[in-house]
Amino acid sequence: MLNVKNLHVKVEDKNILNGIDLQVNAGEVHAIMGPNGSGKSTLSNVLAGRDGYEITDGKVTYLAQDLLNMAPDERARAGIFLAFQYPVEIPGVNNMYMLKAAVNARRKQQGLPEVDAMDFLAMVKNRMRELKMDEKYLSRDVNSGFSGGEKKRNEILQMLMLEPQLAILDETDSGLDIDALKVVAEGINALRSPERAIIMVTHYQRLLDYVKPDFVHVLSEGRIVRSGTAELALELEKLGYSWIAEEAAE
Amino acid sequence: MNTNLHWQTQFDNSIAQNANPNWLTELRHQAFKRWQTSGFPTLRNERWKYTELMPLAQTEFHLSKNTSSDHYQDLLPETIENSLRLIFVDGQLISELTSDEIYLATLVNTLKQNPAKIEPYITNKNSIDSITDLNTALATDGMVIFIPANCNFTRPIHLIYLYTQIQNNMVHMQNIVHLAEGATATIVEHHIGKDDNRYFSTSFNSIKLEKNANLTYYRWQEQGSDAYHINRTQLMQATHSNTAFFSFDLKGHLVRNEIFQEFIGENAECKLTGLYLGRGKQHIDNYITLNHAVPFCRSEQLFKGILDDRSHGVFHGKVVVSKDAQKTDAQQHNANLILSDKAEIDTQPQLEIYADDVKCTHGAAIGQLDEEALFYLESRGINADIAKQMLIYGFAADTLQHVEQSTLHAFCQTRIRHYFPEMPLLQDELK
Ligand SMILES: Nc1ncnc2c1ncn2[C@@H]1O[C@H](COP(=O)(O)OP(=O)(O)OP(=O)(O)O)[C@@H](O)[C@H]1O
Ligand SMILES: [Mg+2]
Repeated sequence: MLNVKNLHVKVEDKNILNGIDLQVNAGEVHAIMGPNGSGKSTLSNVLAGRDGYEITDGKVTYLAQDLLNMAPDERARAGIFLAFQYPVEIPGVNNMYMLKAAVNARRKQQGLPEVDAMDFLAMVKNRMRELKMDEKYLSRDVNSGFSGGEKKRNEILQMLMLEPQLAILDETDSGLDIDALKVVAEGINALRSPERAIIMVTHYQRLLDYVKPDFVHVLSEGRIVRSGTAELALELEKLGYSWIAEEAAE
Repeated sequence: MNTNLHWQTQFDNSIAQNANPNWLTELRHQAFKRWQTSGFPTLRNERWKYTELMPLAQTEFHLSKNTSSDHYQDLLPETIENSLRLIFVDGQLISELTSDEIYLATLVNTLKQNPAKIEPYITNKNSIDSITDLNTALATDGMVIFIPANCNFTRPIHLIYLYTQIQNNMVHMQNIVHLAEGATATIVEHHIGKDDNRYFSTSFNSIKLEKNANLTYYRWQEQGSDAYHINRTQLMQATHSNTAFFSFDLKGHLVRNEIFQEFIGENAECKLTGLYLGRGKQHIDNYITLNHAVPFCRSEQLFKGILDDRSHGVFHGKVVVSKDAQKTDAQQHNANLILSDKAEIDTQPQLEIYADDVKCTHGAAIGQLDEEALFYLESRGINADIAKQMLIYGFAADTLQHVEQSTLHAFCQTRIRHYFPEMPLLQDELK
């Protein structure tokens, strides 16, 4: 589904990603771990099409399309979803309105008619119940004045409504209390299916206890220095990152 | 052309057509005389240094004689649920409405039947500059609204002033609003005009709130694309009174909105929210003064501006805290979104504090669209152009936070939405 080949990215003349190779197939869940500043968010943002990154080398294909040539909104309509590490507050834009505009944009792309207002409402309310979110968040402005945890839940709500092909979750578990983590993890598991793939950026084993990854990658200084199965994360939990970095340096 | 002669003719006709009480005729003559000597304020006048009225001085505007009441239907705004709707077309009320609970009549009728009721409002009009004189000399009609003591009048009073296609027309209005002790009311003053037609209008409001009165006031300015419009509101607030004032300037060619607010009794509160939207070559000038003359009052002011194309915005906001006005709480903020290199804003938030135990803040911000927010929306599949519209709309609609009545909230939203046609209209909004 997603094939990242030798991706090099610069930000303001600083090399951030130094040759990433990553193959994600339908049905798989990949976890990306690694120290602060190693480039995890950069990779997520580049995949979602954010401005301000200079791609100096490499290629990314997504469902046989050249991903790097697509505008961010095109990528989203093609099924890519990024849950932000820091979701943005948008005062004045109603949460429900944005959600519906997003869903309709996707449906239009697929040649489907606008979603029926009543069905949509029922569906959102259902999802919100699953995520233990109060319905009042629908009438509020997008993330405006939401707490850190509420913002993360709102990201997952959007994800569940948009039903992406490829979900990239950038530290969605950070800042969540234990109950919220469980709820969010259930949300992620609900999305898992043979047709979809998920990339989870995380620092913690806790999330991986709930959402078991098929693969775990360690990113360090803009390179994937180690890949393995779920057991790798357990090792990291015990030993930290330094041993990998040392091994990589050898 | 002999400008003075032109204005003289306009004035003489107006005097001849209106059988005013003697005191008023006298007052109008005096005002007109002053007007003839001074003419329109120029850029040399400190209060007008950013707003050029020359084009006004060069046009021979005529007081409209008769209403062309045939072509106004398409200008009418949506109906506000449960509202009392009064429609003026080119300065004339087209259908009288009365109420058992409150006093509601035109200036013309009030002057005929009960001139003493409004005499103090007209004679005490603050003559700040020649524009006041012009309005005093030529304004012959408007609405008079008196809400009696302890009356909680829940129906919004929607005053609609429409301007049709009479070329070089001018309309001068004067509205008087009084809320007696403990009275509550909601008033919507709404100006809407035809595009591509030069006309000139002034609208003066004298508003007074007695003790414990509550007023929610909406001022909508959606004049035509070639319209010149000057709005001046004098707002006096007695003890424990409360005002929520909203001011929307969405259209017009050259617009000046002035608000002079004064606390004359303690523990009163005033929340002032403004929005101005400049496109094309529009010029929108807000000139706001809040006067904390007495202690223990609270004022909160937020003006937001969106300026695109070659539009020019002016925000002059002054808060004066007198020596005795201890424990004043005054906040003022002006935020601007600039969408084009050619758009301009002159902003001057000012605090003049003569008391020492006060809490006052003020500030101004000028910025562009938030790239983060734009990417966020795009990453949800929303096309960049639409996402931009949504953000700009969001910046504007943020001013509706303090609109508490839900019917009015819906009305305001719908009205502002007209200016963002590219935003997707979702099915359930179509109703
Ligand atoms: N816009 C930018 N300007 C300058 N430096 C940047 C920019 N974006 C990222 N960087 C730098 O790139 C490096 C990688 O950042 P990135 O956010 O991708 O790290 P991360 O792995 O997500 O870290 P964390 O675990 O703390 O979220 C950091 O050193 C960061 O300072
Ligand atoms: Mg990060």
